[in-house]
Amino acid sequence: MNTILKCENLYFSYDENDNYALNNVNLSIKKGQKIALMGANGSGKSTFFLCCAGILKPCKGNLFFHNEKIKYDKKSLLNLRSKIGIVFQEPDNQLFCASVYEEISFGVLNLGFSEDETRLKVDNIIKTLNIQSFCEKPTHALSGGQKKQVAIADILVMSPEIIIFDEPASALDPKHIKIVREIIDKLTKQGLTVIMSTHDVDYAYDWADEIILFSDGEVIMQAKPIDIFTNNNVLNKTNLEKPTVIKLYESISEDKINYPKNLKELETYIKARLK
Amino acid sequence: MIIDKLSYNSKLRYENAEVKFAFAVITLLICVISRSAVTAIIVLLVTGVLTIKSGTPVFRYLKFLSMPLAFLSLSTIAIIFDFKQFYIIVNKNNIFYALNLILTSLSAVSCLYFLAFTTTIMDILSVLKKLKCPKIILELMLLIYRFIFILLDTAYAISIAQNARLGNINYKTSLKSFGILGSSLMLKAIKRSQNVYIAMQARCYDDTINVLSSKKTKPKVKHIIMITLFDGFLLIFSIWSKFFI
Repeated sequence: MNTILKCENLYFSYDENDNYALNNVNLSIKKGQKIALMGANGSGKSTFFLCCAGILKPCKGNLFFHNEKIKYDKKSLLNLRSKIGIVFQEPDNQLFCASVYEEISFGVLNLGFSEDETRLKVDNIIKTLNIQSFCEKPTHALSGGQKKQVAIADILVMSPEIIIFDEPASALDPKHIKIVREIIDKLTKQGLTVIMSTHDVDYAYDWADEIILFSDGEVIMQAKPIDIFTNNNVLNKTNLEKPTVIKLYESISEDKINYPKNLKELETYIKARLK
Repeated sequence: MIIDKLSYNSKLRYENAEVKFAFAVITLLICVISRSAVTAIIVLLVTGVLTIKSGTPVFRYLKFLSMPLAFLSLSTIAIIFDFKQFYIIVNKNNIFYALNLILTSLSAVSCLYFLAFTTTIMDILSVLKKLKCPKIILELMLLIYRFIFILLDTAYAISIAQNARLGNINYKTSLKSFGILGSSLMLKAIKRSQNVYIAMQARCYDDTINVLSSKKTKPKVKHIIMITLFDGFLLIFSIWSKFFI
């Protein structure tokens, strides 16, 4: 797998003092990977996302997209933002048009597509995400879950290579969390690189290929979920709990190698042991 | 907001917006230019019936009409009553003039109500766009429309939070709470606008808001003929009543 996104010695400060929101961040993300960014509130995850999309320019360090250094002229930034999409945590910060249809068409028209091509793409994404039932509604009349679906549609319609979700399950009911996760699963099956910030350790453990842990603007660790969640030092530093599966498994097994990936695998293990 | 809800639930919502816009504006212009009480009554009745038939509840519509009526009634007092030396004079001509003014204004308002209650703001904006309304005005209208609801929601949430902590327990506290609500709302609005701008930039915003409206229904020939006949009749009637009565 090729590296799609890389950052070297990245620093970013909001107030030009020595208070860095991103403090010497070094990480690399391969194409097609499912990456979970975890860490306490204020640890720098959202700031990192904004730097990836070129919204914020780092004070120091470099960002590479497809091994090419990101440039900050207007043309390069527009090109970058067409390839890296962010679904923001708060949909009301993203949805600004009066209707859902207008909202979804905004990004595509900015990419230079004609009206006919835009209509095709918008109709297609509405069908793909199954949001026909409220696509004629005004955005202010949507529920939180529906707004989130529209926010995802906004980005997907632009066909990005990387899609970033900033806490996609935030303030959603279980039904809409399930819908959002199904959409994310579809995207990963299509080979898109998906980066997500989440506080749900169980979901991150099951879903992610790799987890990047942030703390005070620094990357503490980037590794496979099992390596992260069996490292007690790192978990204590970031105040993360172990996933339920690991806690249960560790309570019933001495084996420190063959951890189950999810509750289903744990169930299979328990049934096998009971036999 | 009630007008917004009514327009989305209107039976005429999916009719061609340009036809509705043309009907409302042309009828309004004829009504205002003619200054005829009879024309005004005809327009008031026709637009009123259309608006009510399209799904607006009668009492709701009358309530909306009562607002400009109250304002008009107060304004026309100065026209009805004349002051000469120490006498207050009520003139028959003045009464008819005031009545004419009230009816003309109400009928003009009813034309706009017809448009507002049967056409969504998006459709109105798309018609204005076709009429080459300046882009900046359309973008401002789009953003203001969207953010009215967000600010109302935020204000409501803050107000509930204040009430839950006895923020309106007496007049003095209410005033203080209202001031805090206002300043808090302003700060939130500024923060929200910054966040929205970031989100727009993330979608390649290039200083122009380009959006597509959903597909429009084609204008029906039947409706165009009916509107032409009605407005034509109004125009001829207005001219006839002005010059030959």
